[in-house]
Amino acid sequence: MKKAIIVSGILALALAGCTGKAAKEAEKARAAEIEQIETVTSQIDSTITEIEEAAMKLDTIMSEL
Amino acid sequence: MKKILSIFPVALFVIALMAWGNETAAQQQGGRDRANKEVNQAKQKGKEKAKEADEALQKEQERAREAVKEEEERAREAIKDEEERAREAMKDEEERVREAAQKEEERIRDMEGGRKDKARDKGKGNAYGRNKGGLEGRDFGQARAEEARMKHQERRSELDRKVEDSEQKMVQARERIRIAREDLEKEKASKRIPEDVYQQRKEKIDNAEKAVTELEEKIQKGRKLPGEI
Repeated sequence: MKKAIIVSGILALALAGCTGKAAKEAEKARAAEIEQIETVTSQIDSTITEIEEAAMKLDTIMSEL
Repeated sequence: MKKILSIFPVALFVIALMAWGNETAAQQQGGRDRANKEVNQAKQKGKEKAKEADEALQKEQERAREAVKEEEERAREAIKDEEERAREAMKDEEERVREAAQKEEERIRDMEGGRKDKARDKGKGNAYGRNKGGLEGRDFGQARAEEARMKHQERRSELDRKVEDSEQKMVQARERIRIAREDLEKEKASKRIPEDVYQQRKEKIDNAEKAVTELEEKIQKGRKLPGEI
């Protein structure tokens, strides 16, 4: 009986440990995903700025043409 | 002799009759000619009037078309301006709300946590980790991912709009450059402009061409960025 309780306890601890680890892994994956999204968003922002600048430059040159 | 005398009045009468007939015929002919002439003139006038009316109608139609086009252009610009203003206002509002929420949370944390908690929080993850807005663990992570995705979508839509607008601008600029170049070459060929003026204008056109190419490159770059992650 004692052995069974001890074994059950060990199994429960192992299970809890694994679950925690899986949750951490999932969190890590999510953080990586967020980072990737934010990187692309930042690239989009800088591209928008570049397009705006290029369009403004073109407007200026075309008005002098 | 008597016979001759008796025939003479008859002959005279016949001659008079013929002369009168000729005159009447001539008068009738003259009248017909005049009438024909008048008819022709009337026809000519009618044609001219019809032509004038046609021209006036065409001009009117042209004016109406121009007016409609201008009106459409104005409406389009107004809509664009309105959208831009709405976007700006939304962005400002979001920023204000975010700042207010952040300040409020900081204030509450200061009040509740005290120095000890602050020291414990120090160096624990990034700003997102410390300001969880009442969410914990996985929920917070999901909310943060959702926020990042939304922001990404918003910026992507903005980029698409910019790309579309810039493409139109590029097409118009290309057309203007083509016309300017053609005009310049014609003027040079007919020797209406001196060489230095030709060179100056050519340089400007070349610069415009470069600016268009630059804008095109940026547009291509924008198109290559991923839409969905």
